[in-house]
Amino acid sequence: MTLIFGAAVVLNRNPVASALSLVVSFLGLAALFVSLDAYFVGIIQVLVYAGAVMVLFLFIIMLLNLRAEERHRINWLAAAGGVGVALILLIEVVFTIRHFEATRQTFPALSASTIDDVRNIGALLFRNYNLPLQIVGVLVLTATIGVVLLSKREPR
Amino acid sequence: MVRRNLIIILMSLELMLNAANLSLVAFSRFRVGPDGLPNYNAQVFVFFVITVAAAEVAVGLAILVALFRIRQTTSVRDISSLKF
Repeated sequence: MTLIFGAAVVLNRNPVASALSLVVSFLGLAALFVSLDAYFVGIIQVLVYAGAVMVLFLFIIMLLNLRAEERHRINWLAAAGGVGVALILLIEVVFTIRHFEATRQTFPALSASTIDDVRNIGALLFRNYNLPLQIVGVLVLTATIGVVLLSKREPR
Repeated sequence: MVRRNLIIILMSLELMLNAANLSLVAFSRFRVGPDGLPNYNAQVFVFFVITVAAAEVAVGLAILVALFRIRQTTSVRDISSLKF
């Protein structure tokens, strides 16, 4: 389902429909994360991506008042190139999965019945990866300043 | 070039980053450590990727809005020349 909506993002002519398909594929992806026992990442995905980023996208689409594109001639060469790259990647992945016998086994079972992964991820973040965390904080601050700067109007 | 609208291109970029996130989380779940918990290093990386992607989307959209104010178009074909 995530794949179908992901394809719908690119193939839709109306940008609002594209954005909504992206929201649905994000929610599908969050469901996949939860099924992989990554609860923290799944909830963060819903909150940050589907909650903030897509709202931003929809605001910009509404602000710029983008219309649906009219049908144009499909550049078959470019489309064939894109599909070709995706097919090559898919064949590679299938080949790798067939070859390694480590992928034959199913997922190893986890021991604990309830996983407090927020605490574990937090411990890792603040102990081992503290420096990248601070740098990412500064990066987000820089991005905010950059956005405010980029959207200033010229003083008349 | 299949899509010309710049916003759709930015959305497809987000989709690609999400694909990388999915593979990271899958591998994190696959490697179960000796204490029965998944390897959390990849999930920390996913956290960083989500943060950086959100910041990049914000800056990209700000550039788009500034560009739209001047050129009044979001089609990549019309913005392709670097002249001022």
